[in-house]
Amino acid sequence: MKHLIKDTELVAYLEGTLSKEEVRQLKNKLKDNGELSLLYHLQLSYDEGMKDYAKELIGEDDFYIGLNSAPSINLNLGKEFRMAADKKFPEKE
Amino acid sequence: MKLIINNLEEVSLNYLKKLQTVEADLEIAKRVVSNDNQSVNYFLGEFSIPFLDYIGGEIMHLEGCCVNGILCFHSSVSSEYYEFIGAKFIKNQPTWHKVSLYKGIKNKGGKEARLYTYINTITVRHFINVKNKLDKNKEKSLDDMLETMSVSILKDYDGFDEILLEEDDSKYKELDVAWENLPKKDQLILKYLVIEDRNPLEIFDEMIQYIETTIPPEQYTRKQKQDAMSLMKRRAKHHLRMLIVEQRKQNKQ
Repeated sequence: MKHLIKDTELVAYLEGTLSKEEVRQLKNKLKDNGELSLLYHLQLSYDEGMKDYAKELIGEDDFYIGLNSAPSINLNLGKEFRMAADKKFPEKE
Repeated sequence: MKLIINNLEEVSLNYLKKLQTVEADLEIAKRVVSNDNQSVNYFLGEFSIPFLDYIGGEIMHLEGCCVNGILCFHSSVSSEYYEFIGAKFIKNQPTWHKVSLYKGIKNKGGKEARLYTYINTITVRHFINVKNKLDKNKEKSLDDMLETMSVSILKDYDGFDEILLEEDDSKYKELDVAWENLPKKDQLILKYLVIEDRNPLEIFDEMIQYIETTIPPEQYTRKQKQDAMSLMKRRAKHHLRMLIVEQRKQNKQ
């Protein structure tokens, strides 16, 4: 039998207002339903929309620049480090 | 001096956008439902494009188009989105019933919920249903069909809601390597908020040294401090995921 998952539960997860136990229960229900991907797609799409607000409150994300320029970041996998992003980003002017 | 405005009906949309509060969200929703042109344009554009880009590319797997050197996917799902979120239509005018259901609070515990979180949630659910129906003849489980590498990593590590390091299991080797390559500020925020489960307000004063914005530290409101720490945590999780994606890509080659 499928569990009923309310929008409000998912909204609460995204807003970080669920307790650890409530998060576990929600994940278990989603796993039983075979819908765990839903939770993570929600998380990833939510993060996309938070980028501007994040830039305003905590500044520019310089991690991409760091990956390309900092020689200390090396995964020691025998290959040159590349950008993880699979989308194209505009070049800095 | 803190400016308090009691009547949000009078203020501009730009001001409402900057407020980042549930009260402002309620006013924006109200204006959209009343078909105020400026608010509808904002709602269908700037507000919705980030998650529509994600949905078009990562859930629906549609063709994107290049705009100023950036691959965009929102236009491939915008019509379907308009029909979904604007329904129902009376004399070709949207009634925005789903937007009108936004009340600013969650049922359980009465905690606040932002408009973006609510709209993002119902829209992603809708498009996952659409995608599942389109793919129903394929012989994979519904969950597998929607799994991208990023989703797979989040599943493997429980969404990074709990982070366990120093495990002998080889599965955790890639997490250890990614962790070692995380910037210090990312390690710190995850240590405090995920591993030690501390209060975001408690660590703000220590973490502010890693924040570079035009807002002076003493001007952050309590809500902004909480949001800033939460956003730092989200960004750190994103970096951790990117480092694992990179390892998996390299291992495949």
